[in-house]
Parts: sequence; C-alpha cells; structure tokens
Amino acid sequence: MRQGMRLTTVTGLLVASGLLTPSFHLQADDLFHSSPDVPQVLTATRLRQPSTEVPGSVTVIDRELIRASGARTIPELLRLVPGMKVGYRNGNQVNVNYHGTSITEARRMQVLVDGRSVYRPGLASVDWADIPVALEDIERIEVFRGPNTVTYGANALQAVVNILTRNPQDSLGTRTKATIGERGVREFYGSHGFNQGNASVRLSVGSRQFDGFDERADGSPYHNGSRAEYFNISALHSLADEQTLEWQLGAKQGENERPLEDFGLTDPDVEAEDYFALLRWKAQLTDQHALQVQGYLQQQNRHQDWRTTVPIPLFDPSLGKLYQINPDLANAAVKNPLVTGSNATENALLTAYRSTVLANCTFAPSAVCNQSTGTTQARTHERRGDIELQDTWKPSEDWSLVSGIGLRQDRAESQTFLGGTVTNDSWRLFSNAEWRFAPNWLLNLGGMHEHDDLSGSSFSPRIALNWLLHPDQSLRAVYSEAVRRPDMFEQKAEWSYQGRGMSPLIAGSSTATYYQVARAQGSLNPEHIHASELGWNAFWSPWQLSTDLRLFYEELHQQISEPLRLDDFNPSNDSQSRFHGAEGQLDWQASTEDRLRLTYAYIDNSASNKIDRRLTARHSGSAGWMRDWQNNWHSSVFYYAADQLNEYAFARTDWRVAKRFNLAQGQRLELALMWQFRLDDEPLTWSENHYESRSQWLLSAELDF
Amino acid sequence: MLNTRMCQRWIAAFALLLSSLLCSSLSAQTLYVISEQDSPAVQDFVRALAAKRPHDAVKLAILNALTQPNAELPPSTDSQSILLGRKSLAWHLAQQPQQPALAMLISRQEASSVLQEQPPQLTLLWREAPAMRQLRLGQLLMPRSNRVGLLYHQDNHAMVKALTQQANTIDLKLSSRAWNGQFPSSEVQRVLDDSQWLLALDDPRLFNAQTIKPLLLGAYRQQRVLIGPQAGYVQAGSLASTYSDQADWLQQLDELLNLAADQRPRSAYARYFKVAINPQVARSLGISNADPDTLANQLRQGESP
Repeated sequence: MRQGMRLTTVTGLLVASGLLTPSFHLQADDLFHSSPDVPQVLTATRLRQPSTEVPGSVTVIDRELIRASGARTIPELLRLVPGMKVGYRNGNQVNVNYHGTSITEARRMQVLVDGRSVYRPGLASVDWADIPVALEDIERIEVFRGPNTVTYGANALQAVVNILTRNPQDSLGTRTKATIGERGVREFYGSHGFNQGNASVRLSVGSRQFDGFDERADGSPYHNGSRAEYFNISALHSLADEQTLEWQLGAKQGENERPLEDFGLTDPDVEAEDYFALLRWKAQLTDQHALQVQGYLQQQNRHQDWRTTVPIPLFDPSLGKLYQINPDLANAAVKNPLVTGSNATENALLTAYRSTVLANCTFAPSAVCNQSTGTTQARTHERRGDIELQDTWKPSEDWSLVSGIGLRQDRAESQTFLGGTVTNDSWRLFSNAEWRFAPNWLLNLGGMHEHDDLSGSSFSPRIALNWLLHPDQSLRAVYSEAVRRPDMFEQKAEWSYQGRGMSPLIAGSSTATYYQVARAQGSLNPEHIHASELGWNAFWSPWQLSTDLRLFYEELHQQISEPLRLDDFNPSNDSQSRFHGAEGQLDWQASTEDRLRLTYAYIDNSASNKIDRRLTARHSGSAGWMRDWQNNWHSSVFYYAADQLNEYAFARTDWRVAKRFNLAQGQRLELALMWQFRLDDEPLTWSENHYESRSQWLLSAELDF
Repeated sequence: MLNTRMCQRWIAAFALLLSSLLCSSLSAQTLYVISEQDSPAVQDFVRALAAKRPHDAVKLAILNALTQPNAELPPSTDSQSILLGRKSLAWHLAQQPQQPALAMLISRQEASSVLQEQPPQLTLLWREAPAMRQLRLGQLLMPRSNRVGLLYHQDNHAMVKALTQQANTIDLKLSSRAWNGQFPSSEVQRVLDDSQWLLALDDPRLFNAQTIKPLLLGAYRQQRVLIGPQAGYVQAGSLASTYSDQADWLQQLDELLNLAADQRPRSAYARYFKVAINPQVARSLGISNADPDTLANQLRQGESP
C-alpha cells in the first residue's frame, strides 16, 4: 500500500530515473494504434524504487511469507530479518532490538503501523503484545536495517519496522479465522470489507490469548499469559482530482499477566488499553509532484492495581524524607535502625523512624514488623498527537526530492512514574534529495533537524552512494547518523509507589509512600549512532533470485545503559557500544512451486556496559522453504537460530501444512496445521522462561466469503 | 547438411518469388478500403497499402458516402474489400456479403455482435493480440511465476475455459473470475490473491480508461503486474504487451491478398508483432530481462511451426 509516501521515501522508494518513457512510440497516424485515451497511472512518484537503488538495507516480509511462517505475532516474524534479536522478558513482554544492546529495554528501534509510531513516548518501549493490528490485515512489513532518523525521526536509531496494513480496497468481502493450539493459544479474527459511495471500508475485530511460558527455572508455575480484544476500521475515500482520504480508527483492550512481586498479595497484571485515530490526505498534483498530510492521535493506558501487604516502617514518612536527603543512610537504617546520621536533620528523622520501628516491630526471636494492607497502583496514560506534511517532487529525470515538516506533542501522565504529567512538544524538518549524476550512479543526501522541549535540538544526516554495476546489481556505501531522545521517564522520572486504603493506617493516614523515590536529573542528552555500511544488492530476474549482502560498522555514543531501578536510578550518557559484522539475505523462487529464503548475520559487539552485550548473538539466522504442491496443498518449514540471546542458545523449526478447499459460490476454506519444535533445551532469553514441552501444535481454520 | 539447407532455402525463395509474381500478375485488382470515417491515419494506411501493392488499385470508400442512395458500390468482380472496423463489417454483411473481403480493426466480441453467419469469402483479422501470445510474453518475463490471474466478461466464459486448457500446456495455471468492470471488486481481489501476475484481455468493457487506474494501482500495491491488453496500456503502467502496428498488418494483408479468397483462413490473429515494455515498471519490479526485440524474437520462435 502506498501508505506512506514516507515509506516511499525512506526505503528510498522513489523512482530515480523516471518520468515514464515507454520503450516504444505510438505513431499518432498509425491506424492500428488508435488506443483509448488511457491515463498514466504508475507515474514516477507512485513507483517503488528497485532494491538496487535503495540507499540502505531493507528486508521485506510479504503476505505470502507471513502466512507460510505460521507466526502469530510480529516479533516472531522479525526473526526472518537478518540481525534482528528477539528476546523475551516473559511471555507477553518481548524485546526486539536490531543487532542488540539491552535485554530488558528495547528502545532503539522505531516501529510504525501505517505511518503511525507505536513507540511509547513516556516509557520508551514497544508493547508488541498490545499493538492493535491483526497479522491477517498486514500487507507487508518493511524493515529498514540501519539508522534512519533522516526519514523517520528520532528513535529510528538502529532500525525501523514499518508495518503496512492492507488497503481497504484490497480486502473486500468477509474473512473469519480461528487458531487454537497448545500453550493456551486461542485466537479469533473476523473482517468485513465493503464499498460505500466513493469509499472502501474494512472493519476487523479479533481476540487473542495465550498462556505464556509454563514454568520458572525452579519448576513453579509462571503467571505470564496475555489476553486482548481489538477492533480496527480502515477506510479509503477516492476523491476527485487524484486525491485520496484515508482514515483509521482502532481500539484494543487486554490484560498482560505479571508474576507476584515483593509484598504482593495479588498479581500486578497490566490492564492495557490502546486507542488511535489517523487521517491522511494525499494529492497527486502532477505526475511529478505529490503531497501528503497526515495526522494522528493515540492514547495508551496501562493500569496495574494490586493488593500488597507491607511492613509499616518502610512507609514511614520520616524514612522517606531521610531517603531524599541521604539515600544510603536511609537504606542503612532499614537494615539497622540504630545507625546515626551526620547532622541534626538526619538524626531527627532517624529518631522519628526508630519510634515507628519500635512501635511496630519485635526483635526477638527474630525481627518481625506489623504489616499494613492496601492497594498499590502503577498507572500510565500516554498520548501522542502528530501532524506531518510531506512533499514529493521529481523536477527532472535525474532528481527527486522528498521534504516535509512535522509537529508532535507527547504527553504522559503517571503519578507512579512521573509524579504527575509531563508534556514534550517537538517539531522536525526533513529532506532527502536523490540525484542520478551519471547513468549508473545515484547519490542520496538527506537530513532531519529536530527539536523537542526535553532534549533540545539535533541534526541527523545521511549520505548514500549507489553504483549500478548492471541494472541487476549495485554496490552501495552509506554513512548515516541518528539519535534516540531520552524518554520522559529517563528525563523526568519521579518514581514512587503509593499504598492506598492502607489498613491499619500508617502515620495516621490511609495513603502512604514507600520510602524509596527515584528522581531523574533531567540532564540527559540524546544517544547518537554513527553507522557506515557497504552493501551489494542483486536481483536476477530470470531466476527470481534476490540477494543482499552488507558489511556494517556502528558506533553508539552517549548511550543510556544503566538499568532504571527504584533503588538505583542514575541514568547517564556514559556508555558506548560498537557493532561490526556482516549480514546477508537471499530470497529465491527456485521453481514455480518452491521458494527458498535464507538470512544470516555475524555480529561482533563490544560495549562499555556489559548490559549492552546481552542481546547480541554472534551468529544468527533463518532458513525457509515454502512449497506450493498440487491440488491446493501448501507446505513450509522454517529454521531459526541464534547462538546466544542473553547467553542462551535458541534454535527452532516451524512446520506448516495447509490445504485450501474451494467451496460453492466462491467461498474458500483453508485448514492449516502448524508445529513448532525447539531444537535445544535452553530457556528463552531468561532462565525463568521455560516450556514443559519442546513441541507446540496449532491448528487454524480460515473461511473467506 | 549445410548445403542441403542452403539449397532448400533457395528453392523456397524462388518458389515464393514465382508465386508472388504469378499472383500479382493474375490478380491485378481494385482494393476498396471501406472505413467508417476519413482520417489522416486512414489516408496513411491507404497510401501505404498502395505502395505495398503497386499492381493493384487502392481506393478509399467512406461508409457515409456508400450509404447514399446513388453511391457507387465496389464492383463484384476484380475487386476486394478491406473493411475497417465494426460498422464497415456490418455494412458489408448487409450489402455485399459475397464480395471477397478482409475485415480489420475488429475484435472477436465486436464480430460476434454483427455476425450471424460468416460468408465464405470473408476473412476476419482480429484486432486483439492472441491471449496465448500475451501469456507467453508474461512467462518469458516472469519465468518462475506460473499462477496467472484473468478477469473476463461472463460472455467469454467458454473462451476462457479453452484458454485455461491451452495455458496448462505451457505450464501456466489460470485463476479466472468473471467480472463486470466495476471497482472496487472482490472478484478482482480474489484473482490478485490467487495469482502472481494478471493477464488483461482486450475487452474494453473491462479494461478501459476508467478501470485501468484502480486496477493498476491495486495490482501494483500487491506486487502484481499486468500484461496487456494492448500497447496503449503499457504507457499507463502495464508491464508489457505484444502489439502489431500498421507495417505488421500490411505485411500480413499483403500475404493474404496474394491468396485466393477461398484459400484464406476464416480468421486470423496478427502474425507479425512487436513487444512493448514499460521499462520503469520493469525496473521497479526488478525485471531486467526485458529487451522488447529479444522478447519478440523469442515469441516468434515459439510460434513458428
């Protein structure tokens, strides 16, 4: 889908040489060519750039591949991208990072759904389980491997995942699908596409749930499943004069399980709600000139309410005040209430704290304190509004220019994490020029200037040179810089846990605050990446074989790596990482029935903070074979491997066999059986992520009518 | 071996020369080009035909003039008619069905609308490119893509059934659906879903200036290309099409006129043709083996008996 001229720009999709010049000339006076007055449809601004001319590395996961993979989630699909590291914190928290870095935070990759960033503004992360999109509605996923702030703005630091849903005009009719399987998998999907006046509309609804990992390292049950319900409406109006208006509405609500935490009586499960609305107007002004205005609003709510029972002294207000003055002394006083301070203020607070301890604790035979029971909350409401104007212009056969301006407001409200509400206004200006300065040479020059209230201004440039050795093959050299802006939590955290409705009362109040409070200094700078790559891209059309090889060198500077902990909240710009290596992909239609796909990445990683070395597998890759048998039978087998994700190896094969039945009146039924089998005995990313069985069976039925 | 071949070629060339000399000397005649209207293109065709057949007299007759009460009709002897377009054919069938004639610029569909019974001396030269030729063009461009989508008007159901069987002989699987030319359409969607590229038949009810835009955009969005229906659509964004220009048709017409009317085929597609490619679309899709002349040669070789 053309969503995104942005897409068109970024993956570099503008045709370089092309005002449409057919290879023949119709003679006006040739009686046999009095062809109808047919408009030029696939004009220069509408055509995608061939892969050989893209100023970077792109992996496309198309609909056929999505279906054949049998994957149920987007992170699973991303294993098909060379160099992509997919780690699981638990069953419903997935950390996907390109090339690596932190295992707990995945915040260095931009993720867009139809041009809308789903990267959370407040607590920089992508909640993969909560993206309100069904795999069945996805036309393709384009992954730009490498920094691309030039086109996508901040946070497109290491890669960009661009999820494009199907155009409503391409999904008319009704589809229903059910998938059930082991590990509690229950998924239902239905969509209906119809025409109304000048518009095509698709309505999709669905639900999904799964149990997560079965057990922890010690064999105890693991509470980490997920459940979600969602709906989407996507509409496209064809207006007069080559204009279109698209709008989308969507909502999702669900629950992501979390295991019991310290002092918890109930599970702190996350109630997650996501809402969005998007409007996009496009106009094809001339064959060489297109304009697009896009705006969207989205809201992401995360609520955690859980019952806790806490030792009363830890919520003592005097201890809290002491922690603000001298955290080390406060922590020491928790272990030994008899410690003394270095000044009168500290000692006065310690005395008050000791009286609370004496009133609530006994020390013989062992230290036991009175408990108070109440409810603890962690709630965030994050909202983003974004508007962007983009202009695509091809003044001549050798030049194309994509430029634009965007405004954004991010707003996050969280008493727990931000101590209230934080807003961040930002604007951006971007431009990319592509110049074919010789028949076989393409130069791309681009830059993005951004400014936001929290982190100031930055400029990210990119220069790329493509040399077409042959129409089928190119060599490219790319240098780019990109930034990740600290999120609101890193920059403005005021993180504390409050107990509400406490009983018995603490210091005479039903509301009490845990003594440790984390406060951000607010002086962080953006992270920077400097990346260079040399690439070779080839597409041999007679064999329908496409390959891309790439050597890369990436340096991350001013990296914010420290784990953000309540008792140790000291993010800084002191870390650096370096990645270099090689990766390649091959996609081959080996025969009319067989398609083969291979990816591989070798990555050498060094980092000043060991935490940034944990999600980098030195060797990783995938292999797939898809076959279209006779009589509507289809099969596929995929192999995925990574030698170490947080020190654990991962290897799995996924099998799928499907049979399609053509029923009466154009109805169609597809039954598919899927089997995933782990080839090793390791946990997945973390030691507690275990399944009882290496094998998982799934069955799906899809009916189209 | 080589000598034998050379010898055969010389004999063949000599025979051809002899027969053409004989024919032209035997059949000096008047060729009436009957056209619905006059235009520079028609004039140019008449001039080119006259140049191609110097021994014949070539006259242009406009339908309006022929339908006047005192109009002079082509004489029934020593003349043949070359009918341009559907109305000329209809006039011929009504006025001079026994006159030897060749109908050009006529599609199968148009012919079926005016033709109840085909007179024995009439040869129909189909305007549209033969579907199998277009299929083979797509196959040459995308050799690993054997699932071909086809949208057809329900009137053509029988033809599509036959074409499906023919396509099977060259290992192409046709996935076809009847369509009414309206957009958006679930029929178009299903065909796009099931195929790797689309064949557009030359049927103006389905493929015309109104439908081509949504069709091409929808197909391109889903990485599908269109082959056909004719060269004019290649400019719009169709990947490729075979086509025959005036020179091609004149060549074929010349050969047919050298035959006696009762020895001519009842109908024929263009025997001589070229290939039109949209290089930008080809490049955008990574199709690089797209030299039009090479493709046309490959197609000709595949068609030679």
